[in-house]
Amino acid sequence: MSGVDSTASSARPEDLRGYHDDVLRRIGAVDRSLHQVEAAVAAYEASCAEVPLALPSPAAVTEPLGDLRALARRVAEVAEAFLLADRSPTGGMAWSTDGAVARVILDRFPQLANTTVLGAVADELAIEVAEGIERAATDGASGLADLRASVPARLASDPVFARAVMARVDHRLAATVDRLALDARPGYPSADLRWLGSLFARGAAGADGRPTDATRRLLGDAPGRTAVRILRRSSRAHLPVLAVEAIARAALRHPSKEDRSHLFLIDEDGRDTGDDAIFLDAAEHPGLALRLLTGRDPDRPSRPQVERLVADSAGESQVGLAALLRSARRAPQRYVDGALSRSGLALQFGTVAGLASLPQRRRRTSVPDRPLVLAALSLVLDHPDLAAADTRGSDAEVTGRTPVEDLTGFFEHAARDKVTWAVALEGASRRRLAATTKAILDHDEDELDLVGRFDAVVARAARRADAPDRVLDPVIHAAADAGADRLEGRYGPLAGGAAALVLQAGGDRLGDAVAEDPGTAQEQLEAGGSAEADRILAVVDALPGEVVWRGSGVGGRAELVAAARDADGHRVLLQWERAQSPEVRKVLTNLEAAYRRGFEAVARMPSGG
Amino acid sequence: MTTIPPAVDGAAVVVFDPATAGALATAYDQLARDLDQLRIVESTTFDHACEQWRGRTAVWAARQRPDLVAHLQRAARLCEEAALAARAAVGRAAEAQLARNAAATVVRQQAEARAELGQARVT
Repeated sequence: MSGVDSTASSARPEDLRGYHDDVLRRIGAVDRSLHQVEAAVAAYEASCAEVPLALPSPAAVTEPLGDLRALARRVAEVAEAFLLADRSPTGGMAWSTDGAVARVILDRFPQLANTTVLGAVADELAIEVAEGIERAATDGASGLADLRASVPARLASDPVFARAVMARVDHRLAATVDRLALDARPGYPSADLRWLGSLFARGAAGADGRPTDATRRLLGDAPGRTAVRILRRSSRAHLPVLAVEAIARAALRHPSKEDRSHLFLIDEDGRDTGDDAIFLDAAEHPGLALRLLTGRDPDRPSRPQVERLVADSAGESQVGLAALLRSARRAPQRYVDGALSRSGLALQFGTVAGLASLPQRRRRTSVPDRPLVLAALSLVLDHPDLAAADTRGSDAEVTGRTPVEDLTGFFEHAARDKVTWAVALEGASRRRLAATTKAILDHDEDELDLVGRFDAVVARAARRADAPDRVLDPVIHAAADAGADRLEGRYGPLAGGAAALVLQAGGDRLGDAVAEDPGTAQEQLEAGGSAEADRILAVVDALPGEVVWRGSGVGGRAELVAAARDADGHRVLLQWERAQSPEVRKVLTNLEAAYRRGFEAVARMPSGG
Repeated sequence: MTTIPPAVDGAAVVVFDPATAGALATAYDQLARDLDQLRIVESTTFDHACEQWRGRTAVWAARQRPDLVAHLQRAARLCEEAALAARAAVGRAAEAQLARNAAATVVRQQAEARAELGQARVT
């Protein structure tokens, strides 16, 4: 960026003005033609509607015109700058130095201020800005407003300038950002923070897109990482993907809460939002999101990595993590030849296990938990068979939990929120119908075994989610026991025993009073359609020539669907089944048997809930 | 010059005004010419300004131009293509009218044939 300030600089200001005038005159002519085109297009659309045309977007013309108009204006400003630098042009020629012209531009023509034009002057300003930022670490924001005013916006958004400032300010940036963030309302960046955030975004990466040494140094310690989190929270300017990756990897190795977080990054619910902005940056690149969640090596993806990340997200806002999961779901690398790749598998099973190990006590899966559960649910519902097949094995020796427990715990989170649960049940029903149809057409009953397993897990999760939380029971009972012990000490074992009974009964009543109401997950599950209804509908769809409607109680498929949802739906389905031929009834019996095998295999497993 | 055939009995008229399409083509041609003219004037006056222009500001201005000139050139080509498309629209309208006429003719002929057959049965 540095240049020689005394380099000769010259121009004929009249020629530069002439350029401006001629270009703007010709642009005026183009504008007039453009208006005629717009009128002609409107007339054509009104009177030739049956022969539409693919016409160029007006922006294809207006954008280059706008750019050229801006260039002409800047060139006219250069003419003025030369005349201010050399007030006595000789024979129409203005002579000066680059430095003198640059200073005039910095003072008078901020739109023209960029590192190419300013050269060494920009270098000097970068040093001043860096020193000002360092001073703000001790003085607070008092001097930063003046500093901001001294840097033209055009120059501040010049990556070369931003890099020069960032290289000089180094680790003192962290102290300044910390100070400014403490002065700001948490989550609401001040003008100073937004300015620094923008400067950081422009200067965090080199021309090759890789993070600069200054950025790497910042990411090397907790205060630096926290500063980066605050700066990314304070700016919407995009970073090159390599810089995004470096920052996100640092955040994965050292999560915000491990870096002692920052008051500015704690939301109103007391959750740490520190890594949200960083993960949201990364979520713009699906391939990167998948790599961040499952590891760099697609041949040896890490399931524990994503599991740990999800499991450790309690107490965090989870907004960024949910975005990362949604993004990874879209990554092409999630599949190989149409099947889930190793990374895709690690993502799915790691997410399920991670979510299963999050605390279950909270009744309501509200924002911001809901996005995380929904993102994870989408992954599972993309491949419910895989999740169900996993329940056949057991790797409890490794994880301490069986796959059934993981999947049940996972669905328990979904069951605690009506919206999420509705999505889960809709997905389960869709899968059940498809699998049953396939089982009929392909005589492949293995699919139904998996569907049965899946449904058994879903039912178990609903049961557990509906059980009222009785988190205070141990406390109440301990208090009752302590009270009885005190009476026993004072009045003997008989009084203590009698008192224990009274206190225990009171404790139970108190426990009932403070326990939450039972949930509605099972109710929703029952209202959302049954395996029996889906089985019959699949038969109707797969064997349309063999089913009979006469005497079945319903006139057709639509009526059957509606009737099956009624309170006495089971009776309608039974009547329909009785009206069928022995062959169709046998198909239904076989389907039910296959489904039952899967369902009961899981239902028989001991429940750890 | 392509003309649009009149609609036969039973065929809907294709909504199209050749004069409006022609006016659109002319407007796009004019815009393309003005864009080309702008590009030429810009290049000439910039070259002239650069004869005595030295220093960092000259370097900066020169760097801005290649992309700009390319975008102007592309805009002019798009306008030329739009003018061609507007002229070709007359042919497309004629084809559409011919297709509707043919379909209506087939329908009419089938109706006539059925009527003749009915008449023959009566007699």
